[in-house]
Amino acid sequence: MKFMQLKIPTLGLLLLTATLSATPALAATVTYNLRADLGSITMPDATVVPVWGFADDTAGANSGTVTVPGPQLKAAPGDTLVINLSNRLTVPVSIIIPGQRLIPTPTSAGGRVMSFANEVAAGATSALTFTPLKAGTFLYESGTNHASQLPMGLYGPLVVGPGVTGQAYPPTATNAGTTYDREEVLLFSDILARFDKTLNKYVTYNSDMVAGSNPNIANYSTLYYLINGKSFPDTLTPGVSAPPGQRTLLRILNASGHNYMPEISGTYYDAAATPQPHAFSTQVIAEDGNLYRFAKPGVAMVLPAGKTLDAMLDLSGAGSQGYYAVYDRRLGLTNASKFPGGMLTFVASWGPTENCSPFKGDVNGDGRVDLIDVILTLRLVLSGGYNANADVAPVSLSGLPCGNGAAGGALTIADALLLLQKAIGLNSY
Amino acid sequence: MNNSKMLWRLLLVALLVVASPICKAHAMINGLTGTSFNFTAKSGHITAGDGASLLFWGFADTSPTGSGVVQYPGPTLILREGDTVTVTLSNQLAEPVSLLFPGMTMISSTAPVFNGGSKAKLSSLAPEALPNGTQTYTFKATKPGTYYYESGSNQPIQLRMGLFGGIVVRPATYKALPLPNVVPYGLNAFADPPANTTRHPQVRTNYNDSTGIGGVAYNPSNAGDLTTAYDREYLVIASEMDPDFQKWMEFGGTYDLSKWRSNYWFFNGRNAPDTMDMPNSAVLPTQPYNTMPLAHPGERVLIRLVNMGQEFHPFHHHGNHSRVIAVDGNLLSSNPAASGADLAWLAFTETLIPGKTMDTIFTWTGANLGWDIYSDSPRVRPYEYMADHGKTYQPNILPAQPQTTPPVPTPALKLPPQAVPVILPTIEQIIAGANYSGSPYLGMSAPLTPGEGGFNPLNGYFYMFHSHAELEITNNNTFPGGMLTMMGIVPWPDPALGPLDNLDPATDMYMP
Ligand SMILES: [Cu+2]
Repeated sequence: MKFMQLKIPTLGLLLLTATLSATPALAATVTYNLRADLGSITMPDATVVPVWGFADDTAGANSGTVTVPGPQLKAAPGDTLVINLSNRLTVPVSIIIPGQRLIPTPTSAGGRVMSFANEVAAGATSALTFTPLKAGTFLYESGTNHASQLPMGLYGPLVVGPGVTGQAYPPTATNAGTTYDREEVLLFSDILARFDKTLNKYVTYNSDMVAGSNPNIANYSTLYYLINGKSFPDTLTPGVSAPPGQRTLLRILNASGHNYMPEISGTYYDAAATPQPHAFSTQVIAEDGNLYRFAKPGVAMVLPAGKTLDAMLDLSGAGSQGYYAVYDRRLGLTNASKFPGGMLTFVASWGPTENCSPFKGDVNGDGRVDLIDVILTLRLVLSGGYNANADVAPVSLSGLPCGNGAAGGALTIADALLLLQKAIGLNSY
Repeated sequence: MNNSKMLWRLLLVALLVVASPICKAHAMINGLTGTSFNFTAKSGHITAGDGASLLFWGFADTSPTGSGVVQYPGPTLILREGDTVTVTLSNQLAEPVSLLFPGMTMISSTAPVFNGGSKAKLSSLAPEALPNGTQTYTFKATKPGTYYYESGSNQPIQLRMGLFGGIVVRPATYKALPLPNVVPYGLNAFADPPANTTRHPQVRTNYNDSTGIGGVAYNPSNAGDLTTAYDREYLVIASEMDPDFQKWMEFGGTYDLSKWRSNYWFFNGRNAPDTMDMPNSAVLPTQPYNTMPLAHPGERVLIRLVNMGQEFHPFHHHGNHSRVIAVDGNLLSSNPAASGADLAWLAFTETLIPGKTMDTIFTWTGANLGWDIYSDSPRVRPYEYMADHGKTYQPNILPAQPQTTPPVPTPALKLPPQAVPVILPTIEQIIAGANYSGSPYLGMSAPLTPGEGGFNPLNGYFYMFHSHAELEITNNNTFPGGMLTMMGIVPWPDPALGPLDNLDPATDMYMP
């Protein structure tokens, strides 16, 4: 996706940054046109969930599609962020970004606060300005009737960075590892539902909201657990990538009303002549856009509702490929109570010219590896043909079907044998 | 329902009176040592604190020397840094089971299992043992610390059913002590960071000094680093169950997993009052581990905390604060090569976090209780001059808190009358257990009055060691229960009555 980013150097910010050597030299104004609107997302079990979400209207009014989470907003530290929010919902909405400065105009009705921030009436458009942006990972979300509009889907990630030379934050003597090669956003959220005994099925909070029944949120519990708006196995497409030899910054956010525990750990082999295995986990370097004084290592990360974490997945010492599970240790691993599902995905760790996917071997593309794939591969072996999807041997040190890669030449009997083992369930790769 | 509840209550009272077990409480980490283990995943039943029988899935130690009995939680593995460990898993459940060892360096394959190569058919996050099949896992215990293993298959069901266990990795420098008890004089545990003070000449300090002997949770970062030294250790594994879920797994019917709500809370697989029963108790065959922390005043007690549930639990202990020295097997150090646990923090309630571990060091000194628990004997005593007691000779014992029943001291009173002025319980107080002392005054231990009836056999001061979410100290809505046990502070024996080496093997405590 591309978003309109109008970079207009601001004289005042330029002067400000001239005195702060750690911030980038050019402070700009970054503008996004977001539309709050009705949409829907589809769960892996084909359940369609109506949502209120944000769409990117860069290409013109009503041009974008509503997504949950909303489009990723990107800016540099010190920038000014302008969001032109047009509201196509039937209720007022607003946007707040906890941790970023907005001059708020809260709205009350009958002495009750209805909105934490500058409300945009149904059908209206107005500009919301956040300045100057602080480096880090942030949630943008509706500040209006929060308890209802967040579960409906009105949230998204804001990434402010990198600063100079690929740093998530200016490093400190005691937390020096803020430089990253690449980044991945993992936004956790959920879909609430109640079980309707009359209909004998789950009804989502969103459906009840859209039907106008003014539901009491206390009567709903979590039915779908999402990472970037998807439940497993949809989380694998496109999935998370962290190549060996690189430092990947995981920008982790929780837009739900519940606390989750992403757990990521694994073992890689180094690049020594005799490769040695090393256990790894993540280093949480910052919380809510605030760099820790010391990074916190650990296999599971505490991700309370509304918070953000920056976790470094340092595979710079890795010489082996890997496929590492990311799962919620609080067991949000179901889709409508069925495993596997939910907040579960894998970090694919291999180079740009490699493919070590455990789903390789499905030569005819029918969604599984079976004897037909073995036969197709055998034919290719005999004819000297090649199919990257059948190039599974040799298996990597970490047990993945990396094969010989693009430069590896023709398939061999080893590929067919490995596929045969896989097809009859002897080998998981 | 009402009748059975009443019955449970009566049973509970009976248990407390009859089976009150602390006099023989075993005080150490029970588990398996070695480098090669055989586990079998199977189902069994546990007995909840109120007598309810609940289905669970667990691991049994099916090595040639193992009990073969499935247990909740699974066998604790007590390993040594640098060991290469093999766990062979056999599966007698009707669905695949696998093992994850977060924090361990895996040598065997870690490839997840997708049935038929289909994304939607993820079976396990690691190589699995099929029903009636086996799978072997090999890993290296690279770093000292507290860890866990858990199933990587069908986790929403299998982790709720109990397929997990604890792992303790002792540092390479650890050696079994010639004596399990040491008197760690000389370490001022209450300075921040902990500092060495002059060692007391009488002390048998033999951990983690320049000879590198025994009793340290993590490898010392430098010769003087005593920040992870300890005298005795305990492991506390927290977990939860929703009885409706367990019943649904056993008997079927309707159940909505999205409505899962815990109503039993466990320490080491037991609810109170069973937490205080003996390990390997005959009446709890599938729940072999107890939670019965005992310590002498001034000892450094390493409490290894693991949360294998899915909820956060505020674990609270009374007495002094604990020092949290490590999280997930990572020493809280600004510079692990040199600093020791200098990022440690003090707390009296530690947040037990799902999937995380914590190592804390606790020392009971009776600080600020208003009197000197170490007595004012002219003889040199353990911790008489503890830093938090002002290092000042106190001839007069100060008044105690009003809710306790302190001894009434007089300056003329000398030993032995000053030793353990236990106030014997009245019959209605016996419900609190045989270890009622009625007085937090410890002094020195000495024989009790003839005919006292066997109460308070350790002469100790017992207080709650529990979840501070009060809901969690119930068994299915009935107090007391759940994540609750007692910690016993057992006085040092009076050296005048004999040498300080009369170690009771049952309690691991020094006895008079
Ligand atoms: Cu308490």
